[in-house]
Amino acid sequence: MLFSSVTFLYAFLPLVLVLYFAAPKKLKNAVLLVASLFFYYFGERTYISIMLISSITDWIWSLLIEHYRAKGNEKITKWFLVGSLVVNLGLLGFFKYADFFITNINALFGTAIPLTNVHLPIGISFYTFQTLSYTIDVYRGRARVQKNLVSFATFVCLFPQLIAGPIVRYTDVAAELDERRHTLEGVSLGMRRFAMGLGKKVILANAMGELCKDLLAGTDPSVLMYWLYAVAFALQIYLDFSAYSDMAIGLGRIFGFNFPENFDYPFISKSITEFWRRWHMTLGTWFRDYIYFPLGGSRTTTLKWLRNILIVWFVTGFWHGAGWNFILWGLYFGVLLVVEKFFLSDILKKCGSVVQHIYVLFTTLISFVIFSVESMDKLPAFVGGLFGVGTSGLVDERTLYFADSYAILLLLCIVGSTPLPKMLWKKFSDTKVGSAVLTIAEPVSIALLIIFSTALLVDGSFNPFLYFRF
Amino acid sequence: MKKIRLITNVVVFCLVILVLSLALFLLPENTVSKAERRPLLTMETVKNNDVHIFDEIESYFLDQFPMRDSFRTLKAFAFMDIFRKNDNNDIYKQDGTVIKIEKELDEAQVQYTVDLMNKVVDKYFPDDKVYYSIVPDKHFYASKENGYPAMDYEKLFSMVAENLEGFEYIDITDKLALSDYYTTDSHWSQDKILGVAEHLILSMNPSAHVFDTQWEIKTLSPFYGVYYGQSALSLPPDDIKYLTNNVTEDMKMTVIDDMGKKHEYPVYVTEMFKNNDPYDVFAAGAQHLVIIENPNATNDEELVVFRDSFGSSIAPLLSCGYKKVTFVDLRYIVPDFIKQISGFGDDVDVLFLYSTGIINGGRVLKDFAMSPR
Repeated sequence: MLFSSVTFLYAFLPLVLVLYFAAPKKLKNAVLLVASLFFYYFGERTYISIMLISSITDWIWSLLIEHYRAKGNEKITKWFLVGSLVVNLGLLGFFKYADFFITNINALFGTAIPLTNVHLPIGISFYTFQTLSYTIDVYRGRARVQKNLVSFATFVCLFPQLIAGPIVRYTDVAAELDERRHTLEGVSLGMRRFAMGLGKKVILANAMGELCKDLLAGTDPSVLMYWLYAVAFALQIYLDFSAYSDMAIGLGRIFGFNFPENFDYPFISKSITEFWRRWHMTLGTWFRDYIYFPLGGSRTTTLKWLRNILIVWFVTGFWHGAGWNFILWGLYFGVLLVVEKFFLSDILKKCGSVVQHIYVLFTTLISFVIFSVESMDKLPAFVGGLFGVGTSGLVDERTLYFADSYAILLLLCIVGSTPLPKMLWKKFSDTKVGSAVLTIAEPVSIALLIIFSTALLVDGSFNPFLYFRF
Repeated sequence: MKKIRLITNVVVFCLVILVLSLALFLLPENTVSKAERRPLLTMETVKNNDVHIFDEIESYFLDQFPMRDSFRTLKAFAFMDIFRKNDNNDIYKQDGTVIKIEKELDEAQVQYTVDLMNKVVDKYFPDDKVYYSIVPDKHFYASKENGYPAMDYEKLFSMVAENLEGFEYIDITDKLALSDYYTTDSHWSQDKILGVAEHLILSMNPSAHVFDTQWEIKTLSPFYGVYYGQSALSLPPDDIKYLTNNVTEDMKMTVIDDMGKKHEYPVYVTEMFKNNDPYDVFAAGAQHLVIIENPNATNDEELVVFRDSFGSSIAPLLSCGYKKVTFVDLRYIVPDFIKQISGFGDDVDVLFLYSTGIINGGRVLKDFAMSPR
């Protein structure tokens, strides 16, 4: 079920809100768990069992770790961690990567191993990472074991963050699973955040998606077409994914949870290092804490550090999709980060902030073109097209039409991707007049966002969340 | 102040969600969308779909959403008037008329259409005079001067000309203008195409006497055309104007249904104005075989027209130049047995009258079920 669907907004959400707030404290987790399982089953009927296997096995592994550690048998606990790794990475490997490997083996050795053709269970990349991090944290002694299966399953299946993040670690919400406060401020700000995320997704991200589709439907692409496509796709993926995070964080707050932030205006970064501190933050910190640091991080020889960087960015790319373009995309960032570390960041600092911003926008736009291609054979045309290779010219009428048609929406998306609206809103609300005006304007804006988003949904707009395929 | 805002936020959020939610569940179901001219999903249909019931539920809620048309109009208004998008759902407004953007030329489908036309002629009309004409869509006239993306119309016309064997082309593009079409519909308005009909008849049958008598224009209104619903724009409706005189009133129109059964109608079936598509007034709407006999014809000649929906409204006018005209719509019938079913003669004029949209989406036309040769 999508957050940006009529079924969610006008059937699932009101029912869950009523049941949740009517339920006694003891049953709130159970209400959330049942609702979450239904939410997941609504979209993924075949492989709900995979999510349950991942949840239950990690719950058991962690109990076993604690049990044997308490008995002083530390050695055996390592095998329970291995068990968790095998189950979770095995499930992820099979469902997400089996056909990728088979295809490549067949191409390389001329074999004809049949493809499994299994579909990717929704959210598997997110929930396997969450359950895995829990067992690792219990093994490392950084998290206390959760003995209550309902509470643990609620953490894994919690519908606001189940299928597209943010990647919430057990330690982020452990205390709130057992005891959480429901405040007027939490509920109110949660509802505001959800409405803003809904509008961002349905009005802005979907419009950029339609622009991408319109641009690609042309037959004589120009250089302008490729650049406009790169801009539109980058905006779409940012707005789409950050909107989902906004809605998830907002819903979390309504139900008393404080999920970690996932985006912090990445396009205003002055370096790629900064960009990745602002983009998909929960994934970045997950890889940092569970792969990069255990490998030795940067506190090692230069050669090993280079290896660590390349491993982490290879995995980051591969996590996003079972395709060579995703691997290339990850490694591209790995190389940029290495180059920045060695010399580029010093040069950029001397050039001033305008050049730094141009550098980040230029490199990230190219990265999203790599990210967006459906297969590697299309990559030369897309990347080459940005530099005039194989194009019909610099400009074409069709692209000019779409640039004109989407001009205001593009501008709104660009401005919306910066902290400017938030800053202005805050500055205004801090004044006496602003505070009074916003007492009316803020709820009216919330109502308008929901109503207008609903209008777009009813009109049958383009609506899939991009990150569901990861 | 801050606390009031926090409370108001919660109240407003819950109110909007709950009110629309209650309306969605409590208001009675609608079975048809008049604006979109389609049946809406009902719970009965959803229940019968055991396999994809969850997929259907979202479609059901979207179809049954309270004030559905108003929400769609709100979206159209915001995108076109606030965000200044040039089109909404690929539909734009120009000089008060609503036009659909036809962006891409589908060469494979054009080739399919041409191949099918050649096959039909090979089988039924190897020795007859065969003509074709192409009805441009509204976008043909509006796109060039206004910079909208458009399919390569020139290539479509040349592909057809180059690949048809033994057909004579009758050009009607200069007989039409944007103002000859309905403002809310894709079709041409019958009262504006007398010149087109006359040109077609005289190109095929120069000795025919046409349109000797005065016409009376009759009006049916309001007519909300197909783009009215698709665009969701707030637009004034059209009128359906149709031309009658003693010749058309004496005509006998026979519709042959799927079972081969014959139904007789006058050439204008005005009671069909109440149908989902009021354009059904012309030639009784979507029919695979229609025969119009004209007892006042000044000759004994016969015409067979392969047509799409544009052919419906020009049917009575073309019939003025012939004793008998058979209209075949290959969207609804395979061409294998059309001669046996409709009974057209051996010495006939043949006209293929297709719009650019049908030629560019030719696979809607049915091919021979068996080898035609």
